[in-house]
Amino acid sequence: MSLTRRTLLAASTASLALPARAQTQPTLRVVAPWEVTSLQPADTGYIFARMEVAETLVGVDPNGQLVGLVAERWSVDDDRLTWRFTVRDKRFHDGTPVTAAAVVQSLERVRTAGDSLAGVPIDRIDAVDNTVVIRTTRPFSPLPAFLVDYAAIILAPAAFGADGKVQQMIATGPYRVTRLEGATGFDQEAVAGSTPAIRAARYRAVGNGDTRGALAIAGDADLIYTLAPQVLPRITAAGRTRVLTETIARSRIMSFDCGRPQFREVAVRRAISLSIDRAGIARALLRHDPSAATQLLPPVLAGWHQPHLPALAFDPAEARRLLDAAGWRPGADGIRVKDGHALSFDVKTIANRPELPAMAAAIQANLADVGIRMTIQAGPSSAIPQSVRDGTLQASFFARTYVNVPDPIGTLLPDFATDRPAWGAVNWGNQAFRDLANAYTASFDAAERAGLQRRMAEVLHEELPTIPVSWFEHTAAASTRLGGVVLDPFETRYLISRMRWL
Amino acid sequence: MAVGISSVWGRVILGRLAQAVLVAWAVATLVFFMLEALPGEAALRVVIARLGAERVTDAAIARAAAEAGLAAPMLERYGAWILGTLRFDFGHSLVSGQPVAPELWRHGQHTLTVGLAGWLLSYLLAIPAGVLAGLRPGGVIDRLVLAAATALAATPAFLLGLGLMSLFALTLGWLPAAGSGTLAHVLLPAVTLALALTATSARIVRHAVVETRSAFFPTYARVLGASNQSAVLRHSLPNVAVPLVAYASVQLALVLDGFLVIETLFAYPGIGDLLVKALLAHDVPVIQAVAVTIGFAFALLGLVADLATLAIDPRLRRPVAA
Repeated sequence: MSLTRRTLLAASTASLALPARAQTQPTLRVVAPWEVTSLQPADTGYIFARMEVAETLVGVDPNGQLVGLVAERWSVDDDRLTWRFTVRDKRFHDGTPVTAAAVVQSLERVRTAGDSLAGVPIDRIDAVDNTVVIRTTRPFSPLPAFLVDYAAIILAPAAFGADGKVQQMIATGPYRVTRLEGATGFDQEAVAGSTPAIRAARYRAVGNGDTRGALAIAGDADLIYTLAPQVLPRITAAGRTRVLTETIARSRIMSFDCGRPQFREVAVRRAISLSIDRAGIARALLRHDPSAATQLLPPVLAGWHQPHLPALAFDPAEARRLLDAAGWRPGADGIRVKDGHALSFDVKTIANRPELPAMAAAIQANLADVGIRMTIQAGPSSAIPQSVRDGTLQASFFARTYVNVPDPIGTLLPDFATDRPAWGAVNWGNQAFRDLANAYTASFDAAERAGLQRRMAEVLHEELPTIPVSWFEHTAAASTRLGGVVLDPFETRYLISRMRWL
Repeated sequence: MAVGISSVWGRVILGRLAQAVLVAWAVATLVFFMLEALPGEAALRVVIARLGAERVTDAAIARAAAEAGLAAPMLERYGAWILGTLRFDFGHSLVSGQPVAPELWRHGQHTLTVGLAGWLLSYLLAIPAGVLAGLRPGGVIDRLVLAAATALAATPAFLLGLGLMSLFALTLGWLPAAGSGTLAHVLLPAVTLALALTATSARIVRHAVVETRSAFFPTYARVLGASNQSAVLRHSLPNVAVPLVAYASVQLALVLDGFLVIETLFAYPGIGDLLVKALLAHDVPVIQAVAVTIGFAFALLGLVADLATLAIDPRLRRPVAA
């Protein structure tokens, strides 16, 4: 008998005297970077939602369509303030029925703790028969999209302890947790009587990107999420798993403190944008030409992505002309100066996303060509919000998701309609955009909302309070024995209940 | 004489235990004040560790600071921590909200498994290699062992681990690339650790063997009528063991250093993995607990080494006044 990984694993498992369990099919092994640091929905709800253990009232399909999960259907009254969500006839994992009262209790716990739904002007939440009634203080049309937020997963009353914290993951999804293994992960199985073809799965957190790549090459996991571009050819060559990529609603952007002299003028921000060779960066560093951003929001965000907008161009000559015209003249050292201010700044970026410092270096070289000096400061992700809080931020470069909830307004509001956003344009203060955003949340007319989406996209494109550099490819590897694998561009679910063993 | 011996043992045990407590306190105190001196808001890092960087809000930071009592004066927090530790209460993790002690034990078990396996394996490799090299200094085996030990010592643990993972998991497919839960998962991290440790311990063994062979006592024993075998077993080997045992305890520092890298590489949920994540998250109670445990373990291992040396070397048991 030849020595194989499986024989060794089988032998070593037997030697540990783990309980033998008759299995008709293998356990699906899922690997992702995120640890189960706690059971609190605001902390790790996304992991349990992605693994389909927990569900929110409303979900989103990969095509962007909102679908009922715990809610069967919903409607809004003529007053545009009262929303009614009919609760589906189903049970929590502890066997108790999912009632409107239990759903209200679950939502209230996260809402009063300040963990979720903070952006929604909720007046009150009530249970009426099998209906959850949510009343807002003003018309707020994106409410159903905000309910997709993973912090609002619906948990059974027995899931909570006396202190209001979640003690057990008792939820409503097609899978239930059978064993928790600290922050490392958990095991789950399909709920009795449910339909998924994959009956058992195991989630394991592996923080190191190289190790996740190795697991995909070795075939030691069946679904491995978030892989570095450079490891993909080796995974494909090994042939044990296949690579999947999907453009998701995330962009790598440069953000500025627009209150500083260097960035106050739109002309300077446009010149910076024109100096960046997005196509070159996408090809050389991301190894994916379509990742070069032509505008802030990627095509996957239908309605928000505006095909009619002119693509952000690479034109250093035009960048120099704009800067000259704005009075920024090259100084003795080649760096442009105006009114005693040098066109020189520090950009903070995140070291543990390996592509970001490399992309920042490419941008640094691009900007030097037009007389702008950019100094790169790569550090922990906390450095950017920290510098916003203490007022030292000049510029930053990072990846930002626009689907914290499936409607990008959930991200655009905090990023562009507040003065000091952690991840948006600091001190931009554009009243026109704020008016458009507020009008959008208040509108229930599809045509009007589409027009407002277009105008908001146009303002961001013209004003460039943040400069998009690339869109984001979500990469995963799936076992060649696994069928029905779909990557969710909204990053809400792994959709394992739709997969099957081949 | 019996009273003299037990007083030596007692002195060593009490001295080392006192040292253990002192070291644990000093390390944890140092860590506490170093964390305090770090730039940036502790509450912000805690929130990022809990919610993710993209969901940071001023309200969440304020909530985390209030929950963790971070607004209290530094000395008050330090005092509370000292009092808690004296009651063996390490507090709750700022990130998970769970008690630190069970988490420490869960990770500690993994580290002990790999640590002991790697440490024992290193001596299974180092003792034969060192003895063979020391028996004929300058010979082919000696030079080969020196070359191998130098190469291993010069190779960082993560590179060693990557090489082993690449060969045994990715190419040959004999072992799992990473993870935990079975004995097969222990092998690659343990071998990585063992090779890193063997690099130095093989040289220590070799040196001790050369020293012992050139000493007079094996010859003296044979002159007194002992057989060759008896001279080696009763006189040479105990003398080789003395520096080896002393060095073995020092190796704990190397083991812990190696774990930070090895556990991250192999996604192995041990103490090193726990410490790295706690440091990134500024999870002070967890960092403190790990520091106290490591400091205490280090000093206790020193005690074990001292006792073992006392047992092996009768010269150390002689009463001082005698």
